[in-house]
Amino acid sequence: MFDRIFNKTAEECFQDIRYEKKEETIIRAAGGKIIEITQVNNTGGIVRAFAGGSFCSGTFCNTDEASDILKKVTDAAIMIKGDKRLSKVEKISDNVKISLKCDARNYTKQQKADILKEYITAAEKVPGVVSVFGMYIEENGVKYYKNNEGTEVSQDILFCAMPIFIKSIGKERVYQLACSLGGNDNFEEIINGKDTVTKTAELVCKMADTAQQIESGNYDVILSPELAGMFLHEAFGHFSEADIVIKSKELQKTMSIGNIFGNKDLTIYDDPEIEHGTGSYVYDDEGVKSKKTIIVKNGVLVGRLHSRESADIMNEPSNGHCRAINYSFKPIVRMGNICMEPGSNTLDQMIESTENGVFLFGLFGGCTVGSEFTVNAQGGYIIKNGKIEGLINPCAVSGNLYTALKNIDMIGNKIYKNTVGACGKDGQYMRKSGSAAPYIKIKNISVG
Amino acid sequence: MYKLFNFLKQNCNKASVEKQSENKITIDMSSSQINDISFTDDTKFIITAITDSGCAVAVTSDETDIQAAVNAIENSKICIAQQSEIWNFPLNNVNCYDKFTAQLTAQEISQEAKRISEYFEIRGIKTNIKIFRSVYNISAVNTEGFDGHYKKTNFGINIETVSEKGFGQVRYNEIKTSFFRISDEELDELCTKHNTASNIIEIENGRYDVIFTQNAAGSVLSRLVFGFDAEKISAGTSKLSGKIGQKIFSENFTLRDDGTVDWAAGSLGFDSQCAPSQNTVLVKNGIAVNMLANAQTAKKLNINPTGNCIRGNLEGIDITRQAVINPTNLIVEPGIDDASLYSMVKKGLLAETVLGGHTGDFDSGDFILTSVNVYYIEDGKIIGKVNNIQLIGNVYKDLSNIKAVGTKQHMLSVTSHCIGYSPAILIENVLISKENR
Repeated sequence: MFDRIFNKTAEECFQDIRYEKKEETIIRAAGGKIIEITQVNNTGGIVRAFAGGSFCSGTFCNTDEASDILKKVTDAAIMIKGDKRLSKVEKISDNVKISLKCDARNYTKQQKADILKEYITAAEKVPGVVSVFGMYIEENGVKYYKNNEGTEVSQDILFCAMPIFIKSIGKERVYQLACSLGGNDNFEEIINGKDTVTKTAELVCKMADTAQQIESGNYDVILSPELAGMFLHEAFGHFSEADIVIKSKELQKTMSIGNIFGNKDLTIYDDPEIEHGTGSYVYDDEGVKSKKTIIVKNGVLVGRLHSRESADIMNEPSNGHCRAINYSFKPIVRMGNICMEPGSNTLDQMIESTENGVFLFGLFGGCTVGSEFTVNAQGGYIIKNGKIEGLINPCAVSGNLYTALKNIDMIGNKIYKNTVGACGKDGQYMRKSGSAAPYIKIKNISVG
Repeated sequence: MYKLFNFLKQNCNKASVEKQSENKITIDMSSSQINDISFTDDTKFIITAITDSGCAVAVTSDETDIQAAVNAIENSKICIAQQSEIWNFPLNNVNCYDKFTAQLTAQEISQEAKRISEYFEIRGIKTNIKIFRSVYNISAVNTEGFDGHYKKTNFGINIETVSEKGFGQVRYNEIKTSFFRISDEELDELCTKHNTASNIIEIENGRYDVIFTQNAAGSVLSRLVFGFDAEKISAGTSKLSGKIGQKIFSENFTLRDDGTVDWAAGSLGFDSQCAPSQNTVLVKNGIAVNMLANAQTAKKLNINPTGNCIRGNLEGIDITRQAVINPTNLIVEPGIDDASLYSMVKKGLLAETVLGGHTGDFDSGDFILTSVNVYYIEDGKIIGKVNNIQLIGNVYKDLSNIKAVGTKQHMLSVTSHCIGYSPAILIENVLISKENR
C-alpha cells in the first residue's frame, strides 16, 4: 500500500502516512427500546512532512489524492526554516492482530442491541428510576502507518464500551448516575455487566431519597479509583505530556526532571501495555512501540510522555505516546493508561482515619487549565469521626496540582483498572485514554 | 449524494442524505515560531433511513458507497421509530459565508499570527497562538422534497500569554464567520491583564458581585440549553417544566438562540433534520417564553422545530454523536455601556475563564466553576488576579440576581467551542468558596 508515495529521502525531509479503515457503531437505547443506530465508515488518511522547522500535515479521504497532498505539505514544511530533528527510533515492520476469547466482532448488531436493551430494561424496573439512556459504542478496523525511514506497521483497532445513564427524581433535583461497562477491547466485560447496571440504578434512587447538599469548603477527601484516575489525569498527567512542556522554556524549568511533586509514597506511570486497558495500544501514530513510562518515582519527577519531536528537543528517549483520534487529526502527545502504584492502606483505614471528610464516587468529568484542575463526582458519602454517614449530592474537587499531589495522605493497597476514560485535548476527544488507580485520600482540598 | 439518495428512496419509507465538507487550515505558533501547519480536507455523507421499524444513520466518505445505505436500512430494522422526523420548510436566508475568509492561505494566516505574536513579544510577553479558517459546504436532500445547500466560513483566533512558570496566564478566544483583526486596543488590554495577573489578591469566602464574561459566562449560560429543551420540558425533567410564560430571571436578561446571524460562528442554513435555522427568543425581560425543539418533539407539541437538532455537544460538532438539542448562537441582548457596568462594582470579581463548564450536573442547573482567569475589581477597576476560588451557584437562581448587562459582545464558550455571544453580565451575591492552600 502506498508503495511509491514518498518523494524525499528521510534526510531531505521526513515524510509519513497514516491510513485508517475504521467502522464506528453506536447503538442508542432509551425507554426500553433501541432508538437509533449510527454506523460510521471512517476511512481516510493523513500525511505529514518535517524538514527541521515544524510539522505540516494534510488529510485525505480519497487515496488517489494522497501523493498530491504529501507534495503540498512537504513544500510547506521545507519553507519553514529550523534545526529541529526527530528522535532516532527503531525501524519497525509489524502486523498486529487482536485475538480474543470473547470478541465483539463475532457478535451481530442485533445481539449487541439485545444486551443493551436487557440492561436498560433491568434498570428501568428498579423502583424510583425515571429514565434510562444507554449506548453501545464500538470502533473496529485497521490502522496502517508507513514512513520514509522504512517503518511500516499495520494494527487492528478494536474498542467497545457501554455507558448507561440512569435518572431518579429527588425533592429538589434530578439525580443521575452513569455506569460504564467495557471501555476496551474485551467484550466479556460488557456481557457480564448487568449486575453493575442494576446496582447503579438502586444507588441513584437511594441518592434521590436521601442525599444532602454538602456545604462547600475544604475537606479530607477519599476518591474512588475512577476519580483517583481522573485526578491523576487532570492534576498531573497533562503536564507530563511533553508537547505542552516544549512550548515554553519557563514550563520546562517548572517541570524539570528531579523536581519534587509529591511525598515518597507517590509513584505515577503511564502504561499503554496493560491488558484490556482503555488506553492500551502497541504502536503509536508515529510507528513507535509504546512503552511503560515512569513519570514520578517516590514523589520525584523522573520522566514524561513524548512524541519523536518532543523527545529530541528535550533530549529524552521516545516512548511511543503520540496519538490521534482518527485520520482527520495530526497525532499529539497523549496519555495511554495513567496509573498510580498501590500503597499500603485499606479503604477501611482511610475512612477510620477521617474525622470530617467525604468519600466520593462516580465520574462526571474533569479538566485542567494551567496548574489548576477540577474533577466532578457523581455523588459521595459524608464521613464523620471515622464513620460513613449519609449520601451527598454531586460535587467537584478542585485545586492546584502542586498542593494536591503533596496533600495525598493515604494510598490504597490495591490498584483498579478503570472502565471510564476519554480525554479532550486540542480539539481531539479521545475515547481511548484510560487509568488505573487505588483509592486515595487527599487532605484539606476544596469541595463544592 | 443523489446516487445514495435515489437508492434510499426506492428502499425505505423516508430518508435524507446530508453532505458535509470541511476545508480547514490551522496555524499553531509559540512566540513567533510556527509549531505546526495543518490542512484538513474532509467530506462526509450522512444517511438517515426510516423504515416501518425505525430510524438509523450511516456515515461514509464515499458518495458511491451504497453499502452504507444498505447498512442504514438494515440497522433501522433493529430500532423503534421514535426519532424519525425529517422536515421540508422554506429556508431562511443566512449569509454565513465570506469569500475573503475562504480564500485565506496558510501564509496569510501565519502572517497574522506573527503580527499578534510580535505585538506581545516587544512588550516582553510570550504567547501561544492558534489561528484557523474553515470553509464548510453543506447540502441535504430528503424524501419530503427538501433540497438545500449553504456555505459557511469560520475564522478563529486563540491567544494564551505565558506566565513566568510557563503556564497560560491570560486568554483570548474569538470565532466569527469572517476574518477579523484584533485591534491594538484589545491587544493592549490583554497585555495589561497579563501584567495585572502577577498581582495576586487574597479574598475571603463569601458572596460577591461578579461580572461573568467569555468562557465563564458560557459555562453558566450553557446550563440553560438543557433547561430549554422542549423534550425535557414536556417530560417533566427540566427545571423549566411548567414554567414557560413565567418570570424566572431578572428583567434585564433577554436571551435568544439565533442561527441566522451573519457574523456568528454557529449560524447555519438548516439543522440535521433539515429544519431551517431560526431566531428563537428564549427569555424576554426575564420571562421564559420559548423552547428549543427538534422535529419529533415539535410534532408532538404542535409547534415548529427551531433548527437546533445538531450532531455534537457543547464541546463541538461531531457527526458520530446523536443529533440532539444544541445551541446555534446563544445571544444575550445588550444593556448598559461597559464602563457604567464596571463602575457598579465597588468590590467584586471579573470572571473570564473557569474550569468545570463542561462537567457536572447540567439538568439541575448547578455550576461549580474553578477560577482560571478571575480578577479582583475595586471601584470599577481591575487591580489584580484572584486564584484558587470556586464560583458556586445555580443558573436558575443566580440569573434572577442580574444587576446589569453590558454592551460589547464576547464569544461564549464552554471549552474552546463557540456557543454564542454575550456582553458582560453582572450578577449580585455569587457564592465564592476559597480553596485553602
